[in-house]
Amino acid sequence: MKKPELLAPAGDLDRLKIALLYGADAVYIGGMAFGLRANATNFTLEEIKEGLSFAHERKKKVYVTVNIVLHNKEIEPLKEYLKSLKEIGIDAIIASDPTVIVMAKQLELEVHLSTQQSTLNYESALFFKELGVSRIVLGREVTKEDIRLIKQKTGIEIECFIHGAMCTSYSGRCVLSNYFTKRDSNRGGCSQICRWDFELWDDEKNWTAKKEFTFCSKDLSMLTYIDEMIEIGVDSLKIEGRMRSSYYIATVVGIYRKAIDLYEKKEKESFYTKEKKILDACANRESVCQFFNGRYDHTCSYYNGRVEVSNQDFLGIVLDYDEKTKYVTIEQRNYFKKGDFVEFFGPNKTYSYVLNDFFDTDGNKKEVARHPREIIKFQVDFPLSKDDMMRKKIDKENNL
Amino acid sequence: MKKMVMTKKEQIETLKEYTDAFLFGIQGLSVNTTNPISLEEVKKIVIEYPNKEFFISLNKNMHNEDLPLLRKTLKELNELPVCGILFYDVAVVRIKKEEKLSLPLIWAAEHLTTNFNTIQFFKEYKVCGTLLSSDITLREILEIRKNTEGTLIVPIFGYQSMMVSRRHLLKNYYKAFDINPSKEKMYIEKEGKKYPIFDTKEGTFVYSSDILNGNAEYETLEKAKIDYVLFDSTLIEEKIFLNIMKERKENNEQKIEKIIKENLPNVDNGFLYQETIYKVKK
Repeated sequence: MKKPELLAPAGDLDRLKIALLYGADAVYIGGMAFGLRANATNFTLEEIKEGLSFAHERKKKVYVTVNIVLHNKEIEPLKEYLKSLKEIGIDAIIASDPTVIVMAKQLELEVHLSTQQSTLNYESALFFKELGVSRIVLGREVTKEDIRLIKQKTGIEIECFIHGAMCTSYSGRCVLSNYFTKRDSNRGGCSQICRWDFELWDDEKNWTAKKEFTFCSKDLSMLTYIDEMIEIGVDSLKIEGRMRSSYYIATVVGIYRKAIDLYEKKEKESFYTKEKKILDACANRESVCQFFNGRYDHTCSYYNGRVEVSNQDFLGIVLDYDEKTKYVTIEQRNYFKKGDFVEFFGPNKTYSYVLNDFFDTDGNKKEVARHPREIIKFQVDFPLSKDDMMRKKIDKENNL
Repeated sequence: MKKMVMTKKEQIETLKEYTDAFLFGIQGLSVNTTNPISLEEVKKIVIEYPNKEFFISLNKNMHNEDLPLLRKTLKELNELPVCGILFYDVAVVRIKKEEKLSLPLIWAAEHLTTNFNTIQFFKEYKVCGTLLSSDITLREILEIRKNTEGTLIVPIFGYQSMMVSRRHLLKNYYKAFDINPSKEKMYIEKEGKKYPIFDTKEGTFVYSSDILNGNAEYETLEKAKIDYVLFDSTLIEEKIFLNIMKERKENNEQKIEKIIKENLPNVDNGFLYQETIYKVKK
């Protein structure tokens, strides 16, 4: 069975590198215009070039989102932008507006169809295949059977979301943000009104329940369904989250990388138990399978309030490791102290450790690391690399 | 410029004198139409009112399971004197081509029908018209008219769709809190504004809190050669809507505004004069 591509989001160059180092086969990024995350850091053309070079050195790919719904004034500048992307040599663009698709094809750019088009059936998929798109990112509302049938009837490459935030609405069909905040959800300005609380009334002004109403859905997690997705022929498994942190990306990419590589292997069950806890902890939000199994009931939404407290599990990032002295240099990201149970993780590695003596850059011994981004050094007995990360041990008792 | 009305089928007789065309959704294949009708009802209506134009909305996001019904419906509609099929999903375009149907198609992908280039793109697929998005400005509408051929329909009056979800958000909420509301008409409220919300077989629809009122631009749109303006009576009291349509026929702007002022406190111009932003200045 062919292994699918693991596709990760990257909000900037650092996160692009992290995603690829931690096991993504490809990343998707936004430029300074025409993408649906207008308020993310995004990439200049120079940064796209640099990111592309980094990816291609590792035989990996970069896709650029050009997936907004165009207004008249965006048509003219679009062509120049697409030409620039072509000159840089990006692997594909992700587009939803047919104007973008046609222009890109004229420039011989590879085009993937964005989920913003909400492709949910094989006839639509065939329409866009005939238009020249080489891959379709299906709408999130597809079931397992939908995916299987679309793949069977069209033969086109299929990309599906496997992890991250979910829109409550059909993609492209929500302008809550436009009405509430004048920020255009179809041009990258979505202000996530679906996460607000509302009062629910009937027309006689009776408040239905003493609990706020919300549109907010839980996150998606397909961790335990990766094997099924591979079997029905999904070509690319997409993680959502261009505005997510390096830690989130490293954690999620690393876990799904392992899940794909463990396809059909017996170690899967114990792997799921441990890794699901780590996934749930790093996102601060509950996650469920959503539509895949045809189930989109009340268990997929937040109705009893949610508390999204920023977790402080991410403790530091490795800047350097000296193999001779065994000293690791860490940039602190959250408070930690001597005696804490921690875990180092990186591409294909995980080490548990109890923090012992550590030092600042002047060699002064420290008991706690409380200052943001302070540089800390200490010795460890296992090999580490730049961009490995340190986090709190999630479940000390079960050694998870 | 012609007037098109979306309303209940029971209102055709009352409104027929004041409008040129009617728009109906079909059960199982349309959304944002709180009064969808059956194909059999369409067949009766087009015979009963031969001097009126009928447009049919098949604007649902189609899943694989909807395709057989969609195909059957399109083939049957092809035999009727309907003036246009409004579609969201391009499966409609493909099926029309496969089945060699002659149905006039209108691209009606709600918030995606926003620029003249893409409208012209669909012309290549024998799509003869577009229902423009209600979240573009008047200036953009006029630009689109200048740069496109084909029929243009502009929403001018009525509550506007803000969201369509596959999820049954109200039913799920009731289940979560084990409650049995007796009312079908529900609203969500925020900062003093009420937004109608419906949970139907096709999913959940949420509407704007204010009624779009673009009547002041009627003449401008007519001069610009817009083909149809759309009036949606959903959630508006029948008598008020009728009175507005009566005065609209006479182009009596002052009386229209008086009726609105006296009866409909929650109106605005939508996005006619207001561009949305998408990049927050840092």
